[in-house]
Amino acid sequence: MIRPVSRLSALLLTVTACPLGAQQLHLHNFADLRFQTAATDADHASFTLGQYDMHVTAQLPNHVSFLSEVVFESADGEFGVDVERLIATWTPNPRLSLAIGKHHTPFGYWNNAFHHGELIQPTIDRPLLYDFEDDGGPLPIHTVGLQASGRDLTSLHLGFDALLGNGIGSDPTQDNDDHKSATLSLYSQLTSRLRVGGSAHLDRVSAGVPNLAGGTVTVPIDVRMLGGYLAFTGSSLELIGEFQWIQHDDDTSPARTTWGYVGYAGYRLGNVVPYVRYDRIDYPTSDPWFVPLDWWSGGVGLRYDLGANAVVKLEGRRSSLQGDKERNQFVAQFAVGF
Amino acid sequence: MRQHAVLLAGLAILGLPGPRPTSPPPAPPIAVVVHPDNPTDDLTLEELRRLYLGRSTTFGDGTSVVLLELPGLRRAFYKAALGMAEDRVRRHWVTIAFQGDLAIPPREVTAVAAMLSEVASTRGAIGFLASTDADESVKALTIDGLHPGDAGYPLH
Repeated sequence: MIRPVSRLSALLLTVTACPLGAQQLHLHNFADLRFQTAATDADHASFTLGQYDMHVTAQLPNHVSFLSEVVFESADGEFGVDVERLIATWTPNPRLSLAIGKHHTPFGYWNNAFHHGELIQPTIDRPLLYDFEDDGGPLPIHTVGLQASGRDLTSLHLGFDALLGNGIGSDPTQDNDDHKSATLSLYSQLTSRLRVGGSAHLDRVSAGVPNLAGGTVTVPIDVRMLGGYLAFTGSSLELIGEFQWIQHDDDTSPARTTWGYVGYAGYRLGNVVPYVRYDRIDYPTSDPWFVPLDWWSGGVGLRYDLGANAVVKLEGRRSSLQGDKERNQFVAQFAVGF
Repeated sequence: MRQHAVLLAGLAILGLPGPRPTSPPPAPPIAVVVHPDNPTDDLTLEELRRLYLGRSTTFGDGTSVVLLELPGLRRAFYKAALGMAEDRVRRHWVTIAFQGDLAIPPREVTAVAAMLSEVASTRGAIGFLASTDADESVKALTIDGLHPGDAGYPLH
């Protein structure tokens, strides 16, 4: 949800200008600019401003820390500002924490390993499955709620995130119903380079909530998700593979099942990483929440690291979104972070 | 000195090879050091990677880790220990911070004396320096059971 700049500028100034005794305050800025050929018949080849992301973390006394991520981005020709994350965390133990605020919902790997800073993610765009809600993504990428986390537990180096949140239909300030969403992510950082994990997510969408197809939910929908992933980041080889199984059940007909897949492989040659990526979403023929038209996108790209703070990515891709015809597109991106 | 120069000039005129230039002595291995009271005596290379990549934030006894780095040696250390260039390690830590993770990146210590002082005074500190610079104020760990200088020691 993008809000006009003027409405939240005061909050932004508060977040960035008043350390108020923070023991350690860190401010990171991320931005990306790109050139891309037309994605649809109505588009033109364009130079494009991406997101400008201000990320603040602060270590406060008494094992409390704070994180905020405020993003400026263009939508419908107008720049707006959106608070993407706002989290206060209590860490009584180096391996355990309790955090309240607006989180990235802890399902899957990509959604929590990579956030809005394009410098960090290995490809130009997020996979279709994990596209942001503002950009038409199908999943509740952000959730406001309370999250308990554990890291590096037992000899298997297990970790977990358990989030109880407002769920679909809510806005950042209030829930629209009494049903809460629940998300549990479990993983093992088997080695310093290899992580495997899975997640489950449950929610209930109330009648009256606008669905992604432009209509309105008429009968409450039970949402069930299960996912799994593997992520490897070696000295040279980079691999990410994940899936999500999504079921919508509204009791009026058999439950509808959607499958989503993400695949990425890159191989580092010094500062250059050639890569391939492929992701797709297979929808059922009808669905009470989604637009039931399949999406897929695949491409080859080249990433060139200009030191720690800048990267150039070039990508040729072929996609078919929501049943549209297959299209080729070339995208070049310059992303910085400092 | 003048006689040496005259000899070299004479050899050059005659087209004869001069004495081979002496190559600099090899750099000493890199030692990983901790507080003397830290019960850890040995780390596997994988455990060292976990610490310096923020995958683990405590030692085996539960003490929180304080990562330290020495600018003049970090390029060689990160290449040998993590298999990563310095810029890549730096971006990795930006990613950790961006994820809101609990790990704290390595703190730069400007000189060997400061590294020794920091490690000797901080219970959870871990740092690295040339093995010839380590003294009795800190404990040098073995890596995969090997001491600096042993054949096969991985940190050079």
